[in-house]
Amino acid sequence: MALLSRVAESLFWLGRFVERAENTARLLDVTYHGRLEPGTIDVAGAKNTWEALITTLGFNRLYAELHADVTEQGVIDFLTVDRRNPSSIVSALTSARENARGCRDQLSSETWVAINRLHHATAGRNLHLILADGLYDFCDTIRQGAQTFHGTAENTSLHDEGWYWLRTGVLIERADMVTRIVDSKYHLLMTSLEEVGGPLDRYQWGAVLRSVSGYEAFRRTHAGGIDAPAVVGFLLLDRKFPRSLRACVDALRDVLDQATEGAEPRLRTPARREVTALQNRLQFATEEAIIGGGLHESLATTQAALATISQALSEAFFWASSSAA
Amino acid sequence: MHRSLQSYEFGTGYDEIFEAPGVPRAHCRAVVEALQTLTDADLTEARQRADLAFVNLGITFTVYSESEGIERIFPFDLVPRVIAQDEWRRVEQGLKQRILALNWFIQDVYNEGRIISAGLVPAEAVYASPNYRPEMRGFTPPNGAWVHIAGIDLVRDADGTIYVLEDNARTPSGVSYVLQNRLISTRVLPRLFAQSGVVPVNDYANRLHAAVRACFGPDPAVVLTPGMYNSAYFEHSFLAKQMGVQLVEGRDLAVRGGRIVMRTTRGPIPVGAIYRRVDDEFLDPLNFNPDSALGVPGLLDVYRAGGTCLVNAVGTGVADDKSIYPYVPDMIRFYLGEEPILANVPTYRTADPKDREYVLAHIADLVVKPANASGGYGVVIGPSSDERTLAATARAIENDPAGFVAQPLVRLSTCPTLIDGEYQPRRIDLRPFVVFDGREPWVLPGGLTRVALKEGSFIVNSSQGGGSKDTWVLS
Repeated sequence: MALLSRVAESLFWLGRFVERAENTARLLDVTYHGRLEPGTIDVAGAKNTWEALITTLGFNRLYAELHADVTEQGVIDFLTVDRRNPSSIVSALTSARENARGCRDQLSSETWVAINRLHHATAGRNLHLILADGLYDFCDTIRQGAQTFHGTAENTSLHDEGWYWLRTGVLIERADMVTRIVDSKYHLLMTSLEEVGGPLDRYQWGAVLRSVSGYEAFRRTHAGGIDAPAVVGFLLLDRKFPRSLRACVDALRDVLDQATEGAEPRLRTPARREVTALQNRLQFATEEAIIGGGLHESLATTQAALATISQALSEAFFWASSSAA
Repeated sequence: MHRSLQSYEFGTGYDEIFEAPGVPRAHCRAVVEALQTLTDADLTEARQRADLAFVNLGITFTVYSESEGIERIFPFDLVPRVIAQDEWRRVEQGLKQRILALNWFIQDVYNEGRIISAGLVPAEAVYASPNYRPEMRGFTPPNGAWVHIAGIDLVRDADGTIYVLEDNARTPSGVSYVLQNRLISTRVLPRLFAQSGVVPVNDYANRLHAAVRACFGPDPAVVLTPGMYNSAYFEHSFLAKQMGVQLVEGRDLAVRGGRIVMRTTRGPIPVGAIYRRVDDEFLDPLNFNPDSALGVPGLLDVYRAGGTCLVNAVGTGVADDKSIYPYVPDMIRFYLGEEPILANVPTYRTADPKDREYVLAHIADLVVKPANASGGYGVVIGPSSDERTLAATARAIENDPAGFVAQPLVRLSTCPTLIDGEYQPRRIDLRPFVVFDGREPWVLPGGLTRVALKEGSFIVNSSQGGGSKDTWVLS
């Protein structure tokens, strides 16, 4: 059955917002608990860890409009329950649910219940409650809820066009997020080279891996232990870790092919061309070359490519600007 | 017996479950026996599980004014309303008769007007009605079906008589609650349900889909919703999903080459029948309300030229107008040559001078309703209104005689209802749903039982503090 442009767009954004909420929760959890470790308070070269987190997520300007100082409470509030931040966890989940509501007839009932439960588990929270119950519990609720959503969606939905639009949204968001996570630690590479291999450095990169559930996977695949280039290589280029940039882009290429199968070439081609170029770049890249050529610049190029893909899809297939209809 | 079921008192009215305090009606004995086995703890647990299920399923109303999208659940009472099989058979026949008469009436008033020529219905009651759509004159919809779905509200008076309170022949809502209430009651009270022998309701979506498809094939049918902020959006998406068709908004549709198309990721695709849950006046900004952003410009022209089929047809509101209601029994005799099986509540049309005189003289004993409103808004119940309200209502009638009708107060029957853990009598009505494909009407067994949760209240509408019950037709 053909899919409404409006519904394709809603499914895409549903996927993106659920993924965004989950990644924000993961980053928040790691940052919060990382700062409790002794010896990590004044990281050499690192600004305040909370400031680094805000930078990672690209919220410097919005945060500065709402808060005078970067404080722990301020950042937690901003990223969890502040509805003035459209990407806070509560905002993202509200948007996810609104998008799900708009295409509710396309979701399996269980998928709808999963997103609805996640929304209800978070919508009534305030900062006070979150801190009282522990930030860990809150972040864990989001992670588990998001995983339940992905699992029910995968296992109870028809894997038709709509499913692939949902996956497209998830994968673009996840790919974008991992580049931001890596980018946030690039200063470690740049400023503390003399400390490479030291305990602090290892701790920081360990935290990065944990934020994407990649710590254990990394240990299993890297007998040599944690060092910066290895972690960068793992997060950006590993083919088998499902949250690495390359795995996301490879999967994105597949779901995009499925979502746009049979569409006119003029509509399909722009996004596919971009994703194929990105895929090729990652296929032949090495961590040494990426770091040597400037990690930050490389990541910025990747983020721009992902934005271009998103824009091309929107112009070709989605309701607001669709040229298909 | 649960203490409050033991001491359950319902005064001098008619109770659906008990014929006298402590004495269940014959067909309700099994249900009452099963209810007796439920402890306070069972009931509390069932209550909590039901509420949680409604929240998780998102079976909610949106409260419009709240920017944070506060949603309320439509209160669901655990105690079912039980209908005996023989009584239901008669009601079913009466409903079929009624939808057929309404359908032929609509066909008639947009075409020959035989019933008007015969002097049975005054011309002004039809042609001056704000719900009469002159655009539809001379039109016959596919299969002659105007009213594909009707919700016909029934009430029972103190003497046990069932009356038709009003007909809903436009876009009646509530059927999703019937299906969800059943789902929840089987989930939270499985033993009670299993012991009782209840006729299933889950064939509704199949019947609806068949009726919708029967009027325009073979292109896919769609459900047209005003959008996710409409209070009945849950029902729209639920029905689309149950039927396996697309749920569309006006902005998803367009007119191309005499057909209605939907905007898909593969370009425009023709649609067949449209089960529309958008009111007539918002359907087509070119032909009706020009400010409507919900509709599809040019839809009506395509429809009239046979390029799509609308379910229900445009202009059916002329038949469920409260000022037409008094003539339905005559319609049944005129079109079907049968005596009405279900009685009308006696109704006074204040447009008629004799009736008006009677109404003004007895206003304190009557219920006055605006002729063209729904949802229980503007209803004045004489016996429970103060002098000032009554005087204001009398003035309103004198200023706009055609704007009102009046009826004697029907003392709605009661049903035991759990209020703070106690069984208490609360007044109920019933909205059965009838599906018509142009050949043979089909009635969903039971329907939506609405309950006035406030003690002594007669108003069951959800917008006015009403709740609902599962309705069990026994097999």
